[in-house]
Amino acid sequence: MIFSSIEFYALLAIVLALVGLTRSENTRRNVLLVASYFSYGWWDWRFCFLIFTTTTIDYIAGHELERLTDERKRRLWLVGSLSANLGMLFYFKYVNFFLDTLRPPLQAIGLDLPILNVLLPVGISFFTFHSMSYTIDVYWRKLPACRSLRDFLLFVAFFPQLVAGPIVRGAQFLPQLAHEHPILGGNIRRGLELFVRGFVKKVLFADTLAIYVDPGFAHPAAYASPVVWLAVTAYAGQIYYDFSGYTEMALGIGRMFGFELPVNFRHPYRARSVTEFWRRWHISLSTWLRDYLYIPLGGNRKGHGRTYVNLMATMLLGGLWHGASWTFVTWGALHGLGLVVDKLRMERRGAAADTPVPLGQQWLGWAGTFVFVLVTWVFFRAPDFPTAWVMLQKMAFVDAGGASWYHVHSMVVLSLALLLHLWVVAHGERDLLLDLTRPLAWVAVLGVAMIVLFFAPLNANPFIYFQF
Amino acid sequence: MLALAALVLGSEAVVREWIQSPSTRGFEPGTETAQRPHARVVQSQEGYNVSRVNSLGFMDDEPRVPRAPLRALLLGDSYAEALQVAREEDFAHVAERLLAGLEVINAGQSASFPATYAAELARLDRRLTPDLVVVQVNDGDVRELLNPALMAQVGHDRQLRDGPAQTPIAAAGLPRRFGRWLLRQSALANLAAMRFTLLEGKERARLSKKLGLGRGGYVESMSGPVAPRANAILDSLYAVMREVRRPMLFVYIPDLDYFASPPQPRFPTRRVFFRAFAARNGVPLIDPTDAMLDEYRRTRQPLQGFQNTVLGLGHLNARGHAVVGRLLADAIGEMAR
Repeated sequence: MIFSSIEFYALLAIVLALVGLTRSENTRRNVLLVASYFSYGWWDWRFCFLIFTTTTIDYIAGHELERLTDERKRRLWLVGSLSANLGMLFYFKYVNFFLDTLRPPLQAIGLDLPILNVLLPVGISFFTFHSMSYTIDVYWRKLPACRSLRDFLLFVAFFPQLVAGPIVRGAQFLPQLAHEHPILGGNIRRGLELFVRGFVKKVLFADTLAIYVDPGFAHPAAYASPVVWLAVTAYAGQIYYDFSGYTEMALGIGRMFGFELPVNFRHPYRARSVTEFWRRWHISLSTWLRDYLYIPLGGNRKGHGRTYVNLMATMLLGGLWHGASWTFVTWGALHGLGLVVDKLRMERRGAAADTPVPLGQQWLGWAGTFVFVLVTWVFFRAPDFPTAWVMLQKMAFVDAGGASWYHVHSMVVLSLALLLHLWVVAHGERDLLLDLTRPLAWVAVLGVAMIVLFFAPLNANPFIYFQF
Repeated sequence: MLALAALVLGSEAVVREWIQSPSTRGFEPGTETAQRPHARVVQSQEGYNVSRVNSLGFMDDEPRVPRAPLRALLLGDSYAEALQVAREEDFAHVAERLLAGLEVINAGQSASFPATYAAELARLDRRLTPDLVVVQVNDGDVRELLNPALMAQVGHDRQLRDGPAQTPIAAAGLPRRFGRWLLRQSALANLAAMRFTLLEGKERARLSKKLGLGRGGYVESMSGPVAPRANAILDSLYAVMREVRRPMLFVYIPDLDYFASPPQPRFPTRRVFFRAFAARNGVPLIDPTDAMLDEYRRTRQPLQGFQNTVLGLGHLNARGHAVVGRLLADAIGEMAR
């Protein structure tokens, strides 16, 4: 269910009421589990069997990984669990991608590949990563195996974070289940504050910018170069507000039920290097890739050359994680290159790396990083390479002519986004908080509600990261 | 409480002045179509327009005194009413500027369609005695002609207008009467009601589709072939319009896909439908499709859409009205000769 839909609010109200009325933690968790599966099954009830099966496999694998001492057997269970998760991910998400890639050269030599009609389960990239983090941590003996199948099912399927993150690790969620989670007024209030902030980011900012982004990326050749630049900038805003808005709504809902979910964004467009960008953007994914892919590959412990290879491999797979398309792989590759260049730059600075950087150089670093991220978003959003190429040509002012269109609402949102960014910079990265204990805050909420009602687009756009 | 009052009153003032006026519809007892004379209308959802309803209840200037040498009565829907552009930019005013002595009485009303024109023309003809009648049609009219519920509603409205003095407003219950009163007094309430209605409609359609409940009533696809019975319906409505015995001219407003390769009409079967109607009945039809596409190719600026909507979609912008107005002036000039 989309967090900004009527049916979700109905579900949330019912679940909050049921969980709030019961005194038994057992019953509370059962209600949350049923609600999570109901919410997931709302997309397609068949997906519930899929997630239940893979979760159960990982639950059993976790037990065996803890119980066994024979390293060979433990490795077999780990490989089995990872194969089940990655195999499912490959089949549902990537099989047609690889078939489509191989089809032309194979057809040229007279071989025909089948076209498979595969439905992509919502959130598959997220819940497989939730689950894999658990089995890997148990294998490394960093985390005890979960004793309760119900609790483990709840960890994987917990409805605030299931379909679009943040990627919650077993080590972050399961220890919270050692305590009870009654409904508390303070949690409801704080959760509501986060939810409202996320809601405004999604419904007002992201959905408004989408109106400008979609036509710009659909027909870039028809628009003037400044319009294309603005459309790409608007996309940078849209994806940030969409994803961070969703994450805040997820964090808010989790908080209402007494659960802490990890922060996923720290003002990423403040980054002054690609490395810093990845410490601020989709933090749950970047840390997951770092801990479960980059470091096991050797990280930076096996010499410069191997470090660069590990960075590229991690980012290539990171790009592929986002979508079964060569444009996503290209996006990942470009960011990998960016990280490699950063590494080279830091190595060249050597001992001087720790000295403060002059302000002018910081601004240059920020501007360069922002433009780099904008250009790479072109590959992320464009439906194919020809469209991306046309956009890049327009951004380079080749055939600069075309329709002049500066969507008023989007320009207002971009201006507001800039002001908010400056506010954050001026206040040491403190977020603009909503304090619902103050009566005036409720008037502000009503004012914002009116702005959303009168100006927000009324299309129930799914969250961008639902497609991943 | 003070802050809340300030928020509500401040919002009312801002909305009334710049965003959306209170409702001006349903002023005349017994009707839901006429607008309150001399009311100030602000429209900002698509394009932008601030203007006044004239004494006839139309979005137009007052009729000229003395009467212009050539008076045309324009019947149409939101394309003719043209609340998306400044009044002097709509195609009726453009035609007036280009053809000396022409006055176009713009009786365009949003949500109208040919059945409405047939129902209203006799009354308007008696009131305004035009020298010729211009009827504006567009692709969406075909769907409305084939919608039995809409056709029945037009007949019902006509009975209310021409029937006894009992009005639906007076007969309505107190909550409904209060609601209508509020919409006519408060710009904020009117805007909120419009947005809620839009949101409710979208959510209802989405949930119905999700739950497999389907949509009741008639839905005709815009992209498929036109049902043959539409020809007979439009011919019979034209026969009713002909009863006023005035020279008549049709203007077809196409919906173009500017970003197709090459740019082309979005619903070509509708264009064919209206051209066939005109040929069958021997009535002049202005079809600006080619002129609009030429203008787009020349300027690369779509002739539909605005800076506060999606360019290339929706109603005609000033460029589109300019093209249609020029063709209308030429056609009327030709007829007058």
